[in-house]
Amino acid sequence: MIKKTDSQFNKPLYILYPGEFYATKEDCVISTVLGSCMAVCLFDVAKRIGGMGIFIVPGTIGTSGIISDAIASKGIGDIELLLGEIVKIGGDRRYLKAKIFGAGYPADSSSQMEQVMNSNIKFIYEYFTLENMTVERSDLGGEFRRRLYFFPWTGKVYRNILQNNEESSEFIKLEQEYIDSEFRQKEKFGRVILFD
Amino acid sequence: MKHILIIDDSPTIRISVEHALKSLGHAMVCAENGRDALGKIDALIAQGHDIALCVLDVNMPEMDGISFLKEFRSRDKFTPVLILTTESEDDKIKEGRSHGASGWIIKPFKPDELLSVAKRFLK
Amino acid sequence: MYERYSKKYEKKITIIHPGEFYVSRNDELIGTLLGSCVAVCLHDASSGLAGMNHFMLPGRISERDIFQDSSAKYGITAINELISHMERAGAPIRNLSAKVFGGGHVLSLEANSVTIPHDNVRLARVLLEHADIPIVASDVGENYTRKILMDVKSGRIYLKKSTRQDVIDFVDGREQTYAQRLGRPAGKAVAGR
Repeated sequence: MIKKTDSQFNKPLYILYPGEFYATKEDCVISTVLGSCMAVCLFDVAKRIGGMGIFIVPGTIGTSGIISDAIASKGIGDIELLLGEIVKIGGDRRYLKAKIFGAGYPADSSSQMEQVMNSNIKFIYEYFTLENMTVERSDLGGEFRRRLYFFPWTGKVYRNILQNNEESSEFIKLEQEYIDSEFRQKEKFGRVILFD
Repeated sequence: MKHILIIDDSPTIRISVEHALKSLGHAMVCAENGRDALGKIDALIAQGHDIALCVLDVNMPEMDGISFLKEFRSRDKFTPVLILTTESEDDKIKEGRSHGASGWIIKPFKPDELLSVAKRFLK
Repeated sequence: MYERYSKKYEKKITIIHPGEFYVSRNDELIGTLLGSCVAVCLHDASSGLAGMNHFMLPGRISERDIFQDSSAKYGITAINELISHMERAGAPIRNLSAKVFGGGHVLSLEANSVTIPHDNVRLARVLLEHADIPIVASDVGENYTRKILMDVKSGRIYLKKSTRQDVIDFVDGREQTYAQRLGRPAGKAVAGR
């Protein structure tokens, strides 16, 4: 995460890297650039609490749905991390709304990556249906890099498509490093500690 | 009848836990925060049921997992309580232990693993 | 920062030091000498404005969370400052193109000698891409010191790379003074790694 104390919005600006999440009560802007990753923006306008998380579900999910799927559980865990932080600062998921972005893929991506992207898109819709959480905006798929500016107090999101640096995108490189590490440890679950 | 109580503010997690534990054959009751859970427990006991196991999240609105645990332990010293959370900090885990949690499972969880831990505490 | 006259180019050269930046619309050159530091050069062809900075991160940026690490703020400030002075001078962001130089592995800054130059370059690229400024040229990394001159009017860059030990020693001494001013311990120079 990069913090810029000033920005064109006259608020602090936080730029998230792939795999990061950030929840806050501060009047600020949370930003990122997305290729294949998804960004989930959650916000409670009444309480002025919001957060963004950037992640990927590392694989394709089976036909039985996300409840008993090991790969999907990773994605659920990622969103849970963001939700946990939001709840800690006073949020309540019953009043949260969502905006979701990303899961685009570069033009030269393999058919396997295309399947992963489609699976990610299915995952995110199924997840928010189960959570019974309103998705106010979804902007997924496509072959471009999206830059987001998310205002956690209002839930407003500005989305631009980047025009430059297509061939040598540093964000795509950062994403690839994150995606590779997620695929390497996709069966990694949390620790189990017994007190006896 | 012995019931398993699942306390988590996420419907997705509640359904996942129910799914993981259904082979145990216990009735399952869900609550979406600590306060809700205390109400459900009172209702179950009033109907003559017992709680066999609690699966408990930490970060929840209204009443969080640790506050629930303190309250629950003041009434019930023995029923196992398994914490299931994204919280992985040692201080939090110690706090859970000191207030009488039986175990701490960090999300994302493996359904088989949750099942075998649950079986162990239900013996 | 100081000025001198170049007989070779028949123009004034304004030379900037670590931590400085300079924006100009005069018919002149802007120059600097880089070791592990990075220079971002911005140019607006339509208004003939150009600017350059020279910065380093005084410590290693942790892999995931550079927000917790105050080190990054010097680099972020340096790049923001340059972009906003270009804008104020009359070059809108959409007109800008960028070139990135430096980040040579010429200093042995403790165990961090590879990561610091790498982080400097990466931070510059991330912030420029985030602003959607095209990075049209870059020459970074490897064990070179780099002397760069930018022609303000054309945006053209004259780059001279060196592995000479006396140049490395000079750059090393200066960048370490700069690093110490920013509050990190110094390392020592090594040549030809």
